[in-house]
Amino acid sequence: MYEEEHSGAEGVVSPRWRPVSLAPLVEVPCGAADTSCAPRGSLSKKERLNYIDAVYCLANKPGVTPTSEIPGARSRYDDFVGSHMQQTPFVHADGLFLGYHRYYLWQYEKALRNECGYEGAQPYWDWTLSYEDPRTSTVLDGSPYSLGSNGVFVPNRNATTVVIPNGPTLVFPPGTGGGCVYSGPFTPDKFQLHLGPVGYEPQGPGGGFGYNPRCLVRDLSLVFSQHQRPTNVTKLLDGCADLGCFNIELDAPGGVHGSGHFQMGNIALDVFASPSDPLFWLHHAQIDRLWAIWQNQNPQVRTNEVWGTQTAGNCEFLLPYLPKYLEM
Amino acid sequence: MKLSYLSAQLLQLACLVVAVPDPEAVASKRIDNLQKNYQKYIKDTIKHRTTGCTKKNILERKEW
Repeated sequence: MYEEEHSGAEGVVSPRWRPVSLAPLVEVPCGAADTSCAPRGSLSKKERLNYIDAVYCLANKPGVTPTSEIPGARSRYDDFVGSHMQQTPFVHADGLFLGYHRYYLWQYEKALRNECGYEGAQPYWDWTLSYEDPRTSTVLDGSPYSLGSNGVFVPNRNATTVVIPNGPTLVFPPGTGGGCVYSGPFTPDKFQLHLGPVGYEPQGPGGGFGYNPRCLVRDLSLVFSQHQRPTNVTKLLDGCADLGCFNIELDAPGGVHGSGHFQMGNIALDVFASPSDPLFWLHHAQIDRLWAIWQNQNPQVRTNEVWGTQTAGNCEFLLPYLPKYLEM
Repeated sequence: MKLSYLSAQLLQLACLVVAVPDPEAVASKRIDNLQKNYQKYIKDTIKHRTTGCTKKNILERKEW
C-alpha cells in the first residue's frame, strides 16, 4: 500500500519525493534529506488528480475508430491504443521510433487538453528515482494520487514470451505482481482494457484487435528496473555522438526504453498494445525528455537529425548490437 | 601518541570515503545539469517571441 508522502500544502516536496522537473513549481531548501540542491518541482496532488480525471474522460468517451478498422475499440482512449497497434511494425526498432512517439504523445496530450478539459502538460515518470524498487515510486505506490499499484501477486506463473517484429524473441520471467491492479485510480471497478494482447500468447480475439474487456494487470519487475539507474541514462546522454547510436542504445532490450516497459510487465510487454496501461504515456514522456536533453547538447546538428529507415530491424547499425539482444 | 595515530588514520579513511561519491548520485546531478541547460536554451529561444510558442503560453512537462 502507500503512505501519505506529505501532509502540508500542495506542492511541498517530501524527503522521499525527489523529482526533477522542466519547471520547478516551488523552490525546495537545499540540504536535509535531499542531498541534491537543484531547484525541484513536481505535479501537486491537485494537478495529478486533474490528469487522472482527464484519462478517465478519454476512457469513457466514445471513440472514432470505425469497427471495420479495429472491431474491439470502444473509447477515445482505445483510438490511441488501436492506432499504436496498427503502426507498430513501422515505428519500432527503426528510424521512426523517436519521432513517431514524440508526435503520438503530443496528439494524446492535445486530446487530454482539447477534449477533456485538462489544463496541464503531459507529466513524465523519472524512473531513475525509483530504479531500486518501482513499487515505492509516487507513480506506482497505489495512492489516489498515483497511477495505481502493482498487480496482485500471483504465484507459480509461467514466463511470458514476446515476439518483436523483425527482431528477437524475448522471454520474461514472472515479476512481483501478475494480477489486477489492486489500489489507486486504475483498479478493475474504474478502468478496463479492451484491446490486445497482440505481442504475446494467448492473443486477444481477432489477433488482439477484437473486443477483450479485462482489468489492468501489472507485474513490476525489480530485475528490469535495475536498468533504469541514472548511470545508464548518462551513458546514453554523454556516450552517443549521433542519433543512430542514441536510438539503438535506448531501444536495445537492456536500454532504458525497453526496460522501462519490461519493469511494468504484462500489457506493457506487448509492443503493439502497450499504451493500454496509462503508465505508458509517462514512460514515453520521460523517453522524449531524454531525447530532448540529448538533442540540446548540440541543437544545431541534433534538432533535425534523422537516422535509419521505417522498417523494423532493417539497419546495418543493428549488427554490432545483436550480441546484446541475444544475451536477453 | 597511539590515539593520535589512530585518529589520523580514521580521518584519512573518512576523506577517502568522501572522495568517492556514489556514481548514481553523480549521474543524477549530471542529468539535472543537462536539463537546466535544455530549459535555458528553450527559454532563450522564445524570450523575444510574441506569437506562437511564447514565454507567456509555454507549457512545461513536469515530473509526476
